[in-house]
Amino acid sequence: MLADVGHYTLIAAAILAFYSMCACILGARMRRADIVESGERAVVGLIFLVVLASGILLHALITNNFQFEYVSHYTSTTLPLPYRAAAFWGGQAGSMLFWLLVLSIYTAFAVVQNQARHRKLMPYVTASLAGTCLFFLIMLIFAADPFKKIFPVPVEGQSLNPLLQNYWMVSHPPSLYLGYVGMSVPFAFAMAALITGKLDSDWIKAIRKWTLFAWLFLTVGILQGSYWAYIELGWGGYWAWDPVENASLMPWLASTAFLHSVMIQEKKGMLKVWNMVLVIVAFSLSIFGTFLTRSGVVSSVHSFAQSPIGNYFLVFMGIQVALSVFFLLKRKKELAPEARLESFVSRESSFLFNNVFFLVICIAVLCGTTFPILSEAVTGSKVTVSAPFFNKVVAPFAIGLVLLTGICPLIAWRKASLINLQKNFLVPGIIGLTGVGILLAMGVYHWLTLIFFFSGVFVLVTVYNEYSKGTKARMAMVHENAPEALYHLVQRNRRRYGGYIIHAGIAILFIGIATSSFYRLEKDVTVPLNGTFAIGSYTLKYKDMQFFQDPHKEVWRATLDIFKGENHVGTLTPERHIYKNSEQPTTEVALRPFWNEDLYLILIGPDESGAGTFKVYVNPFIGLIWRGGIIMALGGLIVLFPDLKTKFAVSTASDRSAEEFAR
Amino acid sequence: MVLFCCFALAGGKPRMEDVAGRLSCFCGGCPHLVVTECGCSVADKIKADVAKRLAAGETEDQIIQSYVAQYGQTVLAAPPKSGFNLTAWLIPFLAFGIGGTVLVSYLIKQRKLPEISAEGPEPSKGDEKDAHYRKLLEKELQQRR
Repeated sequence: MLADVGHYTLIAAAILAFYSMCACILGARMRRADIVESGERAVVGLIFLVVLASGILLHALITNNFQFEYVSHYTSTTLPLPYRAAAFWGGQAGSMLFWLLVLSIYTAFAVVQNQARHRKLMPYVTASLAGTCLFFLIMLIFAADPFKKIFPVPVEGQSLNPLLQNYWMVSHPPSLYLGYVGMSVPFAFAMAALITGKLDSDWIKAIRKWTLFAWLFLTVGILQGSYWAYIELGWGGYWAWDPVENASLMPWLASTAFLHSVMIQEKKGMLKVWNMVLVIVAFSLSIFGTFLTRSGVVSSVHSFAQSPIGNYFLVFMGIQVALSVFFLLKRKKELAPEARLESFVSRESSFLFNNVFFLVICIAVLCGTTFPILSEAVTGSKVTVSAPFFNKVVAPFAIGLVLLTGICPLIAWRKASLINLQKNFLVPGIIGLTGVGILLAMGVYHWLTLIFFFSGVFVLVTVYNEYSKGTKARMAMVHENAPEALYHLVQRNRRRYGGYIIHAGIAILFIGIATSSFYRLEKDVTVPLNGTFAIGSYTLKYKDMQFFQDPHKEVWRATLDIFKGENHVGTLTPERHIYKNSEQPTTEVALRPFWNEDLYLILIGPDESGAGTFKVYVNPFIGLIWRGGIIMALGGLIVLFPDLKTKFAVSTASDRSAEEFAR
Repeated sequence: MVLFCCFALAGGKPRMEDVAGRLSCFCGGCPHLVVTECGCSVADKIKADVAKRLAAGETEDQIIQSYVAQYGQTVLAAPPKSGFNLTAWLIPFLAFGIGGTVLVSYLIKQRKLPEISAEGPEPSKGDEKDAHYRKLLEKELQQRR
């Protein structure tokens, strides 16, 4: 019964989405505000119905209503409550409904937020978003129905994949989806601007925060995913260049490129076509990413043919790209630049180089991810494209990008002079090289580590310089004390100084990647009870092995003491779980982070004699990756934070000259 | 010095890690991890086998080829740089070449263009205070160049 209600709710939502799309377009064409308004109101009905459908599925998941095929596939009576709820996005149909839920909430927000402001754009913005909702609804109704019933009703469900039963898996997919789906709003505004010919900076202003919001969630989602891989998959790493990971990285790269190049459009009225292209690419890549991960196309071309949703995606992507290209070509002349670039060496051109690097990395990732499909289709034989390919192909461009992260903010807008460059580059360069010298003295010789370390330090020093220059200028000119000056500096130009924080985060993240990738220690050991083994500067003593079970799983838990020299510095309890529904064993990694490295221990298994087999890693500076990520997110929040005072604040002359001086 | 270190590291006999690092694990439980990264029993067996063969005097290529013969091309962690597979390796660098060329030619073209109010929109009238600071800024920018 409930399943039927859910199914018909989706059908009603599809009718509303279709109505909303048509009413908005026709209303705008006929210049009938009342019709447009009714189209926009339909969106409110749409979100209500989608929330209702999602509520029904969630209720069924939580109450183990196995009448729903989806529920019986992804939950079981013994599955803990948070994971039963997380099963919402654990399978194909549920995750599609979740996409739609987020999209419809965004649509409602975008419509309400901009209803009064961008009257000419809004009908097409609404139509574009309703059109995307319609696509997902059609797919849910015809190809991936989460409300499909199963008969006979099973007594027990198949439960959620054990690997997904981790708290990071509860929060990681929603963050990622908030990011993915967030790209729909900038895309809708870009399309509206193209269709209406209102190509001034209005649409750019309307989407700046949306893009940043989506970018922030993508960043947080990607980092959460990598942390999940680190603590759950038990191979000591965090990024395997898996298609699912790549699918999230590609829109991130495109949107980051956009967030940079849009500044040139705002400041100089240039790159209008390019920015449109980037917004379209970012959205297309989020749809493509969903297609890639959900259609089964990656595992094999043949499984794609069996998966019903693949063709729906192909049709939608075809329509979306064709419409985008058509309108882009139609408005090409109107997108002419309002200014010209003056110099090769200027902030503007350095942003363009950064765009080239972002997009080339994006193309490399896209190429590697889709190549197995291409190869199978062309030559008939499958190939594996995994980490060694991506590491080799992406590394040179990643180096370039990190270097540009340091260099870009040092180059003046319009035209930089030699003196300007010398003055800005000297100190960060010297400190960076000193850092490299110290590493060499410590015996770190890997060239990638050295280059990334140099670039990272360079970026950090430039960020520090920018902050200190700005703060000092305010202290001198507005007569504030240091914390006040720093606060006002950031508050008055959050985008710029928040951006620097993001750069600092990226630098720290790359230092973490470079050091942990090449200087990892690894050991496989089998030790008897009370036996010891050593790795790096640590000695581990195997003290105990316990076995217990709950209704859901069997657990082996080992206890080991960690010693550094004579000192006891902690205890590790790695576990091995065997889930009753799947019989699939999973590892629960035991982790002891120190300031400079992580001690990472996996229990492979106990043997009959009571001896334990372990795999142990020492990952130097790997924690910097997520610390850098947290700093990036903080920077993003600084930029996103709403203007509380600036609307009312009257900037004083001294305020302004302090800012000018700081530049 | 950096280059010297690279060469120093690159020389010598192939290690088990170098050979196993080119093979992809096929245990089915991992996302195509490189054998040296995967902690499963399949990977452990491959590593032991590679180490044994290296000790017996087989070369890196011989070992890799025998794995390809036994398990097919998918056992390679990255596609070989030959035939159709070469396109995968070339596309990113081609993209960089094309992107770079387009950008540089765009910049050259831009420099030749006559100036179209590079200062951006003129300051609105009645904004004299701004005009004063604009002048000040121009002057300072000149000094800083």
